[in-house]
Amino acid sequence: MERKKIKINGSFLNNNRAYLFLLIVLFAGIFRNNFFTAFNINSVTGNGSLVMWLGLGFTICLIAGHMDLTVQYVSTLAALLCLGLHSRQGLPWLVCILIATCMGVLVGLINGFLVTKLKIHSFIATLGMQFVLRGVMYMYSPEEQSIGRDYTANEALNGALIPGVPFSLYFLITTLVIVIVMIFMRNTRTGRNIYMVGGNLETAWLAGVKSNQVTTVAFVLSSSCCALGGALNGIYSGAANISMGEKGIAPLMIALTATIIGGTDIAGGHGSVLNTYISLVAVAFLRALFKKTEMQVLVIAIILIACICYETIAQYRKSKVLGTRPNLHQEYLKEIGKG
Amino acid sequence: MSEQVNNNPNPAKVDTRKTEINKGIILFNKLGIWVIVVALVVMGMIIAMVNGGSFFGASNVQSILEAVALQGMVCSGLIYVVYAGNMNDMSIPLTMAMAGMMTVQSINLGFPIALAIGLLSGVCIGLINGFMIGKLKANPIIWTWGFNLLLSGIIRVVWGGKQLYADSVAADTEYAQNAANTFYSISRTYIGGVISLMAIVMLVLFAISWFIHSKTSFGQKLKLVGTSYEAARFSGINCTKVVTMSYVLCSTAAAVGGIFYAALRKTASYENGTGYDFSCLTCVLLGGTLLGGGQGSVVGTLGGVLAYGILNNILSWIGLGTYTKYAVQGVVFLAIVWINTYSERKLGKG
Amino acid sequence: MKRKSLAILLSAVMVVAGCLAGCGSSGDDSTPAQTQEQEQKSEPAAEGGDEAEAPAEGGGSNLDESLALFDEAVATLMTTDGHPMLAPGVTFDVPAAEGTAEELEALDDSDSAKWHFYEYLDWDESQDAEFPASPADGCKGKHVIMIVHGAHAWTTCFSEAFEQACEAVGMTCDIYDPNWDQSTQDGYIDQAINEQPDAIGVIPVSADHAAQQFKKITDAGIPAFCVNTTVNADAMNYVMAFTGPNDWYQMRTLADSLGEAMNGEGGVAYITHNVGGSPYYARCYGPLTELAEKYPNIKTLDIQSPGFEAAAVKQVVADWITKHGDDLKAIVLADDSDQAIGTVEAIKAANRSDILVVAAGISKQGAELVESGDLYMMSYQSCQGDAGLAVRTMAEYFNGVDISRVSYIGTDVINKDNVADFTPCQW
Repeated sequence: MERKKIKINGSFLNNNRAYLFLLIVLFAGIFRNNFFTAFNINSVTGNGSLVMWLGLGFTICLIAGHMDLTVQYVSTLAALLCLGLHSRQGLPWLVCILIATCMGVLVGLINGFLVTKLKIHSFIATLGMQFVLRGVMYMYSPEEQSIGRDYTANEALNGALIPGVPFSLYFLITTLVIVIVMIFMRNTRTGRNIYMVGGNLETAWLAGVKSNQVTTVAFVLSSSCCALGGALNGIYSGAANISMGEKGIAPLMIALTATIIGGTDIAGGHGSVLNTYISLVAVAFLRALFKKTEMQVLVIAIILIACICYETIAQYRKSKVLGTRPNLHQEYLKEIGKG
Repeated sequence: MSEQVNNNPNPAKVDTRKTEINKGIILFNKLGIWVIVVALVVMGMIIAMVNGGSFFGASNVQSILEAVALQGMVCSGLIYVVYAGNMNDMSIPLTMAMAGMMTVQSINLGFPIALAIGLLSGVCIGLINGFMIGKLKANPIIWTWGFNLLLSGIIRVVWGGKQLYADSVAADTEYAQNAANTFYSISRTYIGGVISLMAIVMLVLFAISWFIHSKTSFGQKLKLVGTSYEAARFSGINCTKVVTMSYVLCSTAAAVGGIFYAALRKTASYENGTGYDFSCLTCVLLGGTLLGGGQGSVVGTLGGVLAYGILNNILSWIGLGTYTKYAVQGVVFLAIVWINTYSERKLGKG
Repeated sequence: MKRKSLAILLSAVMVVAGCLAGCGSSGDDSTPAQTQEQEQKSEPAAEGGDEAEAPAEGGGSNLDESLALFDEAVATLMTTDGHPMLAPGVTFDVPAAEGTAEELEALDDSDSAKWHFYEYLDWDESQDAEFPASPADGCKGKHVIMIVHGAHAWTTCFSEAFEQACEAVGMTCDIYDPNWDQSTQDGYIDQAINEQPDAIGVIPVSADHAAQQFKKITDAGIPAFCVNTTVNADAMNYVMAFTGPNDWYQMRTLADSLGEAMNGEGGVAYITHNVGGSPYYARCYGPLTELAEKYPNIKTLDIQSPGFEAAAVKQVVADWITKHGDDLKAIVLADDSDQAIGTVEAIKAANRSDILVVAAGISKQGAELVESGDLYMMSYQSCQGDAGLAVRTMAEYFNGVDISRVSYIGTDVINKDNVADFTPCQW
């Protein structure tokens, strides 16, 4: 095994811009009082965990070449369901979380069915599902659900697993699941097939990949992750609210931002779950950096726009060269030793 | 049946594949949303009768028209973006908010100038969107979504998340106060005491939109660009211009909607227009426009807008709560979109 | 390499953004406030090292100064509409509940007994958390953090009044605005605790969730004040003191006048506040139960929650007018701005000026509508008074005065005749 030499140049920076983003945010944190206290790190990463789950789901679907707009609503519904089952039916937490996750699997299957069998564009299908889920949410629980007076589960998720390490159990679970999903995406056949289907559906189909099945798996994975994250978040924060994220910065928007910053290809086929995760950690710290919600929105937006502009311009230049004289471009590449 | 349709001269090579197209699908494809509008109207009449009211009562018709007026205004422009194959303009909410903010902020200059500035802000947003998507070929959804967030950030920071009231912004002169009052009145004027100005503006916008779409060279070019971008490019059409134009039209229409919205609400703030991105797309898609572009009509979009309004109206007749409506709307939306896609595919158009 | 230069450009942008972030945060007004606070904290300690009696004396002089400031502020600070801002709160005894929460929950919506636990902050005091004791060294120089619910004209007015009142009594304050988002508010609560202020005031976005939020603050040893929005009774175990309007009482008073105006007959329809919040229950079921109790002939036609969009409200009301026709005699609104505008538009369009519209107030738009007679009545809920009472309670806590756990701001019913007393409006 020959290890690639790491060269610090433009494209290296660009490929690892999520880490760069995190570093800059942490650097800026030095100028802020009480930023690197254990309490702050614990609460910031804990509060930011929900969007990490959403980012995970959104990234998986984007890699498969689809957009999943339901992520936010799946997680809210799961949180309501989990807390509702506990307070109304008195089920133990594990069962509640399991049922909520199963609900996520179901939503993922429906999404997959709409996209692969009914051939509705994923953007539209999940948009319609968004409305359905919202309706279901209101039908299930028009009021919000809370964990009641028993704080054991809440405190367990809030507390640190390892003494001295300022991360809550919730954040550690999030990280663990994301690492597992990353390994799944990179090292299993199904995981690689998701990349393949997203990169080029026809080629994948010709290569014998059951594209419908793989797409459905991507949707199920996305929805079940979001449902699990939502259920845990419900317990972590102690209550679930129907209108979560309808005001302020929508969690879906943050998930999208992080996915783009993490370098996932908008057209599908490229991307890394881990990069999205890193940029979401950075976004979580960034939000703690600014006390004004307005400034948070503006700074996140500027970074998102900068990334989109960069990608777009790079793509534009590439297509311009390729479009006019493809053979010349190839020669040019050979000349600089890249072809 | 299939043999009659298949006049294959060589009996040995009879194509056994099903080539017959269901008549219903053809009919649906031609009439599109208007079938649903009529069906909904009939349903509405029955439900209204059962409830002992009149569906065609002046107040009910008026309420349906007014409820969809703002959406209709935005849809009359959004159709171009969808038609050109760019899926959706996600920056509609903040375009509406921005137009409202700019109009209210400049109300001291007099009502016509404020109105013009509001519209101009819409045109500018459209131009930026058009440049990024038409010229640099950014992903339309991601770009407009990101731009929406940026606009939201700018509005929140510049105006500090406050709401603007036209009569507080207006200076204490008669001229400025009159302008503020005129601004408030535009959403409250009834022509002939019956039809609101908003509904008329919506219909006028649809008429203009129909004219541009079917009678001008831009409309013809748009059809080609929407159907096949590459083919249009190779036939010498300035695609960049067409796409940019489609965004400018869309944002201008959204700005008109935003100004009326601010006037109706009596305030301009960053949250004006929340949710209009998706609800307007719903209307356009209900109207039979394909997400992939190149299919659809302005008249169909008007039908989609009406269907959306009537559906809401019927649901409240039945007595569904605001939230249960969401689920029904979602299912109806998915069903109609599926029928659309299905019929298009069966006709080989999709 | 174009790609390389672009990447460098990108990283440059990021660096600039990062620096901006650093500058923006250090330029934030919280930092000077905090250093000031630290100075304040270190002052008594240093004196304590020098002389044994000094702390008490130092505290005493600060307390005296604070009390003087406080009295002056109470006397001079006025709201925009000419009422004292730091007026003392109103308190009253909670009647006994007619059963446990579960039993009451099974009752009919129109039975006022059902809403006992929604209406009154009736909590089990034996389960109270241990609250931090008052430092009793004066409110001057104390730093408080106020976490509001979200940007709205009301909030702007509240925040300005809060800052003004804090300044008047010598406190410094930071105001965080989570834009109506529950999870963002959670984040702000953590950040507020992290800043270690002397007190934290919260307007909870949601009533049920408040228990966890206040528990967190109280567990961290910081006194927690709940402002404006009534919370679940359970949450009161973790709340030092609640200050705010008495929505239920206000809406009941309003409903009394409405029932009288309707001669005890006809149908009433309700447009609610955001589902689940305390105003939702108070402003819908408050008048509903009151009317059901005192005027049994008045029917409830419908309850809808179209939100705060004038267009949506207008449609709902127009549908009601078509559906219920002459049965519809009155409409009760949870909000006197957007909801009132939508309702009045719909009524004008249908030429049904006989429909009486009442609303919870008071905003500028609402006052205008009352002046023009489109809105029959509305309740008076002083926004600046709300902020004033919160500051008053906090200041009294720092001054070592016993504070009551629940105190309400005064109220009134506004109609065309007395609307002049309440204008110019606060927001």
